[in-house]
Amino acid sequence: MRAYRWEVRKLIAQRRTFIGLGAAVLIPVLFATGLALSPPDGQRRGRTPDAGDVLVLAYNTSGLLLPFIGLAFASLVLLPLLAALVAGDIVASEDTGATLKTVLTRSTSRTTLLVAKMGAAATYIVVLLLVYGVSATLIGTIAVGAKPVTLGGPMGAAFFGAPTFSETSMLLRIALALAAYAAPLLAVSAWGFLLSTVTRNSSASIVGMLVFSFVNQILRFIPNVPEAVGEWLLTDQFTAWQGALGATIDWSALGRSTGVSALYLVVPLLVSLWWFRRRDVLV
Amino acid sequence: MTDPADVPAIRLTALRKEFGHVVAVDGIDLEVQHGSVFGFLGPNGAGKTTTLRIMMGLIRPTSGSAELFGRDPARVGVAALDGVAGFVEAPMFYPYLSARRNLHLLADLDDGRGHDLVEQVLGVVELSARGNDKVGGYSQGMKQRLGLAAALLREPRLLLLDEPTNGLDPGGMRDMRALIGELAGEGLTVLLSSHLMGEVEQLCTDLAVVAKGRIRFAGTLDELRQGHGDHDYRLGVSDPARALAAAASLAGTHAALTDDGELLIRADRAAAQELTIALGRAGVGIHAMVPNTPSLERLFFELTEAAPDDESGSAA
Repeated sequence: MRAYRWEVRKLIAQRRTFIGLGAAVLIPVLFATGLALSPPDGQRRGRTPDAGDVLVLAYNTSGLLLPFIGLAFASLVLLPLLAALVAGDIVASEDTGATLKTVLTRSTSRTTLLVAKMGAAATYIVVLLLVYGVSATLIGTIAVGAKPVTLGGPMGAAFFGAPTFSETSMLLRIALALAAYAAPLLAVSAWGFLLSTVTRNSSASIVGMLVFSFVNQILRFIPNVPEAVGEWLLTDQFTAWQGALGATIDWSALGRSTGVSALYLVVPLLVSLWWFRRRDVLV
Repeated sequence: MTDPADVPAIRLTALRKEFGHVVAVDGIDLEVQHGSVFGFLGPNGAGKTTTLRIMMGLIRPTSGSAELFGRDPARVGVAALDGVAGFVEAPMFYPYLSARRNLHLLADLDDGRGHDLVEQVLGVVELSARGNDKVGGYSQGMKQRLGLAAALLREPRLLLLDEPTNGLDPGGMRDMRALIGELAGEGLTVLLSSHLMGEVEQLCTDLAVVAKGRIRFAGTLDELRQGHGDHDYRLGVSDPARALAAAASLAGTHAALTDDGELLIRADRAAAQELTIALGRAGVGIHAMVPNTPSLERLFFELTEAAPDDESGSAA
């Protein structure tokens, strides 16, 4: 626990941590501002509507939808990028700063040190989502008000079954959606962590983690990729949080997403550990 | 459990490290006894730092072993570093943390030991007043001193120091050497890696000269000089010609006359004593007789620039 506590303290002492957390607040601010300046009018403008369109339209009735709107548009790129700022840097920065030789010649084993870094990176990602969720809820409430939500209309029925939620129910579903989204975000971050461990280069790891995320998305959208394959890609897991917004919560989708994400999480972490334990420290 | 007193502080056995086709350490055998201040002398790229990294468990040897108090870091991990501290190349710290917080961090990585020593070691390296400053603002000399403080935090019995005066100004070098000298005086075993011959000569009781990954000499400074000096004594006499004739008549004594009228004598101790008696009997007065020790610098170049017997496969 000592090593973990210091990894967290080190994150708190670094500017990039707060850049990430600040950006997590900025996402709902930007969406709220954009929606205030250009209120949704229900016109689809020639493209196929998606779940995000339904949420944007319903935002007129309740600010409690802002966290979901942000997730719908930021879940695939923006939030992974903010997670990558730490996940892709936390090991590589020890190489670029040449501090590995300082900490690896103390009485803490390599395994303990790397597990502490995994824990600290995971803590940052959970805090990132908490900051995002709380700020989006508050900003939406301030901008539009916290009112009951109806995801009605034909589109709402298509995506969510046209449910109506009370304010309390919405708050619980916000928490559930963020918890569901945390699983794939942690999973993709584990690949950033692996790249950080192996490449010893922060920039390469951050970019590599995003490329990994894009590759998952591209594979999902390639025609003729069988559904049985597609549902094992991370892309589906990144949208599984929408199961928290149905008339009844889709626990099977959320559970499956957590299970698939866990597989994507464990493999890179184990490889990181294997690599870190045996590598030569030459800087 | 092995009693550390029964084994050398450091024992390197057939130690070898290859990086691809480059051989950085090429079969080093070495022992460092308790309480010695051991100089590990060699030019840049000789394999000193690689050897130290192996000793500190940062890299694994290709073959052979490095034992500290009988424990090999490659086999038992950080447990082998119990009682051992030091740094390789420039000591590095987290620049966004203060020196104090860096030391408390390291104390926690030592299972929480050493927190109560932080102020003391900061005082030893004269950084108490700057302890709350972020290390990012430290000069190279301050980082070197903080590196020593971080090492002392472990209350080591063996200090491994890699070029500890690197990057220091002359005053900083003097202070650092004085500090190492004090620590050695307290009974610590110190291995001092350096390419500075004066530093080793000033601080060390024993040394090894390494070049191209191999040990070229291991022993005391006296042994090094005795084994490589061309002439053992410089002799000033009243009559050089008669002195030369007297020396020539003695077995085991070789003499040569220099341009300034002095004699260079190669002789062991007993032969030198016989020579003084012979010169007295011959009526030759002696006004100076000084050991003609070769400089460490000259010996260093002789050892490190000479081609080894079987150089094949070795590289810097």
